[in-house]
Amino acid sequence: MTFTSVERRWITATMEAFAHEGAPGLSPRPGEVDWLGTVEAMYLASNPRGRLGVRLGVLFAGLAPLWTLTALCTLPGLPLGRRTELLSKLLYHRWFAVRGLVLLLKLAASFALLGVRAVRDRSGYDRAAPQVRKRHLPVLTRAVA
Amino acid sequence: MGAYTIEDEGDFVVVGTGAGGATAARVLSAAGRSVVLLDEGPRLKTEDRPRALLGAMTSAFRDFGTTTTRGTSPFPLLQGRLVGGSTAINSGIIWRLPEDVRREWVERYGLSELADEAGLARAFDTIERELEITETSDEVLGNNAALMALAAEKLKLPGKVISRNAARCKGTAQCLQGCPGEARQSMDVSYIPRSLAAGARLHDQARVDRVLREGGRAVGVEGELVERGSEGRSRGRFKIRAKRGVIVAASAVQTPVLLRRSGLRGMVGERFQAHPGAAVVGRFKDPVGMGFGATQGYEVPLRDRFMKLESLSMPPEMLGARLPGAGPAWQERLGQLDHFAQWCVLVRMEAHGTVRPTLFGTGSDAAVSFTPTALDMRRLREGLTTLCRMMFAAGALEVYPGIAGLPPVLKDLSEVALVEGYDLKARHLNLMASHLFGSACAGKDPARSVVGEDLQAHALPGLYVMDSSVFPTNLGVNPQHSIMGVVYRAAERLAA
Ligand SMILES: Cc1cc2nc3c(=O)[nH]c(=O)nc-3n(C[C@H](O)[C@H](O)[C@H](O)COP(=O)(O)OP(=O)(O)OC[C@H]3O[C@@H](n4cnc5c(N)ncnc54)[C@H](O)[C@@H]3O)c2cc1C
Ligand code: SF4
Repeated sequence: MTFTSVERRWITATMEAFAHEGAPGLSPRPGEVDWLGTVEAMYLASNPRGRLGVRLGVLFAGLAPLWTLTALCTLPGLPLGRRTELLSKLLYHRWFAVRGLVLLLKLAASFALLGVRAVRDRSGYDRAAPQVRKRHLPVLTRAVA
Repeated sequence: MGAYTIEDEGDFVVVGTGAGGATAARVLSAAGRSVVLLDEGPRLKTEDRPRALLGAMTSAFRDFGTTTTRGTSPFPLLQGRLVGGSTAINSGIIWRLPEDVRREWVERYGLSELADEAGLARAFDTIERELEITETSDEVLGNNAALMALAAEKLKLPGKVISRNAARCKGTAQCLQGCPGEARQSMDVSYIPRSLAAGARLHDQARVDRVLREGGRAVGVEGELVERGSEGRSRGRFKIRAKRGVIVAASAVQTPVLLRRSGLRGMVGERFQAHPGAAVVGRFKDPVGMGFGATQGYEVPLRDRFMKLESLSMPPEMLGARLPGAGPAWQERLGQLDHFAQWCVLVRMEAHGTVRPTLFGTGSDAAVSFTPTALDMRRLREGLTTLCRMMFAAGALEVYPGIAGLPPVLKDLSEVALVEGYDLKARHLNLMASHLFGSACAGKDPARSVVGEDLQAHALPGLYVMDSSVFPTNLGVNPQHSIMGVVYRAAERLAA
């Protein structure tokens, strides 16, 4: 097992706070996304420093209610809305390390979510769009100016 | 067999199958030399390359992109680790070695043979013909690039359609995952098969750990057969003997590591350079549809300002992570993933760094130190400011500059002044670099360079370096074609 049971709970609590089930916009359906499997795959493919980064990110996020003096509990102890609020703040934290490591977890959430074909289809990413080129750009420069 | 699972021999052994190694193999095998190619990464068939980004990156990117610079604001150095090297995950943008850079190499570094104008032009002509270099067609330009063209036109910036090695591009925007129709002529579908057809042999998942010497000459390499997907488990060791030369083309990060592990010192690992960059995202009222179009179709080369702006279509997983917020605020944006454009700036940085083997790591693990200078950061800020202006000029409703300490969302053009006036530091950005140079520089003086004009190591006859680590300076343009041109010339002379 790559992660301890505590880490696994913190990872799940973090991922679910990034992408709420049933929220407006793009939301995962129950059981649709493999959060843990994605973080584990990223971890295993990383070098030792990268792995340390994933572990530290999980630790920062899991203990965030305590070290940010938000509440006397770990992340899973906070209601979903407050978890999200806290993660949003950490993404813009003044310390580079905190921002960077929480962004790594957000990257994992994005990989997990949009890596599911059905979710990707709902995002509209692959929807055909009318071509701007035809409407606005009669001539394109084809040589270095 | 003894201690080795694989033993082999050739006139030349080539370590690394990216832009440099594959080109060397192409020239030497065509000249009738026997070539043994080695790569740490696997040989992946196009149809076996995963399309979802998680699988694509775990199978083809070195350490999932977690090789970072050291220091207080580390950033990733992206590299491919598969047969084809970084060319198998790149966008296929093609630029010849700029004339001002070529002249500097001749005049300041004395490389008149290596950077000979007529010889290089001939090499570029051949490569351009063989790799089907052409400008991106209107049909597959895509809106991400077309919007950038529109912005460049409005702001009177010197933009142009990008030339690529993908004449038959269908605009799937999947270069990072490997071109599904093999339109993009990366080394794994061009010079590697061509070399194999000419008699070269390839051993993949074979990580070279040491260059072997006998009588003061490089005579071969040895290393470990590593199994990807099972945390690099060993499948045994190999030894390859080279009758005429060992060619190291493992990239500007791994080449100096291998040379140092093989006992070379001096300038090995010094003068590491790069073109780090960052991206800006804009949201548009009408759909952009980043999922269609050449991965990179339009560029604004600003060489006199040491930067280059490019349109950059990203797979949805990466684009998603780049959008601001968490929870419902993020998800609302994710629900309109066809409404975003993304463009990036790359800076020809003046900073020099170092590359060393890691203290406790094995094989090709590298410790890279690189810190942008204050001037580099000012140039980056100018590039980001220009990109934000361009986004609004193209009609963006909101722009995400991706700069810590500034609002994550700019609502109109007047707010771009915040970017322009910001005291930007590396720690405010999520930088990345994939254009890497100069850690085993070519030059005349053995005290100030690692290899000579023929790319042979001053300190070890029979050892050649043929990748971007020999470049004495960075370029300010995308490097693949310059690497291939320089290596083509050097390999031709070696084959003669
Ligand atoms: C995402 C991305 C996009 C890019 N886009 C462009 C673009 O559009 N245009 C452009 O010009 N450039 C682009 N580049 C840069 C370009 O691909 C590289 O500059 C170029 O491929 C470098 O060539 P190289 O031969 O030095 O190294 P690489 O192509 O990286 O090849 C090195 C090879 O050596 C192998 N290797 C390393 N160590 C060992 C070892 N110890 N034993 C055995 N094998 C080893 C690696 O597995 C790898 O296959 C891009 C790069 C990336 C990562
Ligand atoms: S955009 Fe798609 S079709 Fe075009 S070269 Fe890249 S992967 Fe191939």
